[in-house]
Amino acid sequence: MIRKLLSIFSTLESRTYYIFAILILLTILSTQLISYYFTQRSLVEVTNTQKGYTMERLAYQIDAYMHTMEAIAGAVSSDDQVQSFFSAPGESLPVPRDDISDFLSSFLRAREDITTIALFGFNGKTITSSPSEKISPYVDVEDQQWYQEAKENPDSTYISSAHVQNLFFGEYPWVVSMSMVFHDQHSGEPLGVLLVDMNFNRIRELCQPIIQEPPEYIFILDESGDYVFHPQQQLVFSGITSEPIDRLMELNDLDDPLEIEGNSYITRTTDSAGWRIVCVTELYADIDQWRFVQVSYASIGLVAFIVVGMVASLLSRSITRPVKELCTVMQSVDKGNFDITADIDSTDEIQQLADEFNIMVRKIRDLIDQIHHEQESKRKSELKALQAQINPHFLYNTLDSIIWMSEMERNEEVVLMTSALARLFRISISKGKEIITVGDELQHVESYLTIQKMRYREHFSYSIEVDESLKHYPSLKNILQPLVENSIYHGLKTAEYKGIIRITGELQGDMLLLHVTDNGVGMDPEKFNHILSEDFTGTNVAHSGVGLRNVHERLRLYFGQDYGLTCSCTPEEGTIVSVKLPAKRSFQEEE
Amino acid sequence: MKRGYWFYISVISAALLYIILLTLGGQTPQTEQLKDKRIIVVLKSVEHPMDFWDVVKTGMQEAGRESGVQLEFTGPPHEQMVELQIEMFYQAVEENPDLIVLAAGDYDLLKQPVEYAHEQGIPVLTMDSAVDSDIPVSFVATDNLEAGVKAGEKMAEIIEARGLGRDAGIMIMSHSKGTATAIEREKGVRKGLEGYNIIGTWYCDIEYEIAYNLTVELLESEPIDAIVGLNEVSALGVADAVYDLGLGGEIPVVGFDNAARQMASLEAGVLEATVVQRPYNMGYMSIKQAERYLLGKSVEPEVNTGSILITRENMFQPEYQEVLFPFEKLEQ
Repeated sequence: MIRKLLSIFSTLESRTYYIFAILILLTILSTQLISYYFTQRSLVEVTNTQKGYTMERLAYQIDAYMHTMEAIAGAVSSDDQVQSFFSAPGESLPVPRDDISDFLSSFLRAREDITTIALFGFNGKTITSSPSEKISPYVDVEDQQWYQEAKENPDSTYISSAHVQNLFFGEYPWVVSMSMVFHDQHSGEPLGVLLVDMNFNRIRELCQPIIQEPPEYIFILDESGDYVFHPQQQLVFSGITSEPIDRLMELNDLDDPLEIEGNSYITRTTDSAGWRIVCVTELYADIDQWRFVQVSYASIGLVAFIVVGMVASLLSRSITRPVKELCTVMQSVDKGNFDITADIDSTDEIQQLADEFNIMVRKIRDLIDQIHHEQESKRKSELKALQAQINPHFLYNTLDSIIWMSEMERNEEVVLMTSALARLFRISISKGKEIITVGDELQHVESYLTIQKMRYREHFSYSIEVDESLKHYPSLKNILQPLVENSIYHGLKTAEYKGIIRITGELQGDMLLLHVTDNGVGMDPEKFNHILSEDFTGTNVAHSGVGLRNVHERLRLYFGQDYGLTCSCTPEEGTIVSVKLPAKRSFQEEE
Repeated sequence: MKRGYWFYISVISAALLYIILLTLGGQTPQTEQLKDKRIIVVLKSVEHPMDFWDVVKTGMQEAGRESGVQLEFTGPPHEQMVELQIEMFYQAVEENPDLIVLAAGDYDLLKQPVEYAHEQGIPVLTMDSAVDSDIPVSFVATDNLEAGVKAGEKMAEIIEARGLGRDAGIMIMSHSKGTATAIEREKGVRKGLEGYNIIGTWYCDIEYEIAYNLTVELLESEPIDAIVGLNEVSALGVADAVYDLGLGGEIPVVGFDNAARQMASLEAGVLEATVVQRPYNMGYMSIKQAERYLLGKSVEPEVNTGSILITRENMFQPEYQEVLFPFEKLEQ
């Protein structure tokens, strides 16, 4: 499996491609990620800066609003009627209660966002903007947080979280309570607690405009980290959703936004109430645009991959094509064709390789030619070595016979024998040619037979019956003489009867056969084949077989393995030794 | 190696690149997938009684605001108009939304419409009140049995605290005979009051006057020492009758739900306790469950949104204030 996987990296083309492709992939990925990161960063920063400004404005608006409320509270508490009403001792009512009540409710009429203004004197007097009988009998004002907070810190203004005001029975408005201790303007004596309830919706309305998109919302925490308001208040209180309050409480107004789980938190604190306004924005809100960027990067990647694929393919092909061509050339050299040169048009490196290859092939060819040449001359020298020489005994005996005939003054016979000897040598020499015509070869053997016939007058007779048409065929010289010699010395000399030697010729297909037939003692074909076989080691020239073997070898060396000598032996016809020659009209003798 | 293989590999690599970029460069928020989904909410009532269904709707809208899913609301003006609700449900099916959220007006009668929606390939999620079917993908509601047990146990506690004894006569004022909520609550109340003397259950058919008059009558004719009212109108009718007869504080009343007048009654000491649901959470979570279903995520077959026992002591605690006194809607 792994091997199979690795095999896709096996070619130059694929390797080039993969390397380039991986490089491109990494490049695009890193550029994309870097640009994504920075764009995202800057986008987030821009929105955060904008958010920061909006939040600051919101905090400012809330502060301004609270200041207005404080101003109203100040106007109420410093009012002469109010002052005299509460500073009057005991149960006395210097000002009618309704007058003050009217005064208070005039503020409510002017400002819809104030739900209640109420004054709770430490002397037990109470005046509210609503008719006082509506005050819930079930509520003890002194238990209320806004009352206690104001009383404990008489010099500061308390602003509550958003809560349900249950001061008036049966009414449960959501308010933010502002409470403070009001003082006698002359003596500075604390007179009671002033309560201004602001409709909480007013504050929610203030927050509203900065909420733009669904994944964005605002919630408010008070100084101790409790919720003043959260749009999902119920989910928060029942634990279905939660906000990272601990970390938000550590966050300062000017800090970088807190980023948790894909949300960005910005806070601004109001001076007046100490509220922490938190704006939550989803970090990846602009996903549509990012999708577009990603698609375009992927498209760029696709184009780049395809271009790289093409380039890699072309590049590697420009390398592999000449290499493949060179390879083909090399393969034909493998098969023995050395006459080829690699003609390759390519880069310098491959060109150099091809050139070197060509030089190498040329050198090999030269070497092969040289070896060929050497073999040829070796073969020739071998042939020479094998060429049967005229037996010196034969020459001596012949010359002896001539001398003897001369003494006997048998001149005619002397002439005959001498001329036969001369002809024998002439053909034997043949200007050093190896190839002579069949006719010449027959003359050669006839000369030999003439001489031998004169010497062994009664021992044998001979006949040469070769058709004239065969005499033009080329033949190796000195092939028949050793056969005839063999017949005489080993077949006939010892025979009790008169021997007959017949030389005949025939065409058999593309083969020319010359037969030497004798009726001598015969030769065992097995022995004959043994003589011709490779493992015959007899070297004695006198040995009967050497002459035959040399002829056989010469024929094979010269014409090939299909040619040579064969032998058949029958009691009726005697021994037939046949010479197989190629039946070619002409045979160019090699130099 | 086949020629042209790099073309395929290029395409594959580009796709791979795209996927990597998609996963690395910012998650696809689910809100994207939900933006083109449409949910029709068929409520029990859109006009009366306002408080509860308004808050449910607010919770739903909040969930929709978060995810961007499109919400459409419909429903009869009154809870009793079951036939109209069925008609409206069929209408909703015709509009071929991605999902229908249903607060069933009747446990049995809405069964067939729900099956019809299922045949049309529209998933249905029930909330607040179930239907007699396994088809709905989820049921988001208050566990009314559990709520009933809370009310019953509180009543038992009051009876013990006042030394009324085990044979003190307890009356149950139920709002409806066939509604699942009423049946479950009654079961729960009876369970919480096991061993106590429950003299009977009476039905007011979600009519305040009936509850009031019935209570006045029964208080004269029956030996009643304590009353449990199973929903807003029955609890109010009972409490007002008790108050008007001058028996406030003498005959303890435990109720359900949180109408403003019930709160006043609680403050005044007539209503001893009330078990409130979390309609906001119910609305919110039903839409969240619907979204989960639309996104192919696992959905629990039943979601209990919980209930709270409210008494005079805890009614103004910050964590309960918004449950009892929902924010007014702001004008956009």
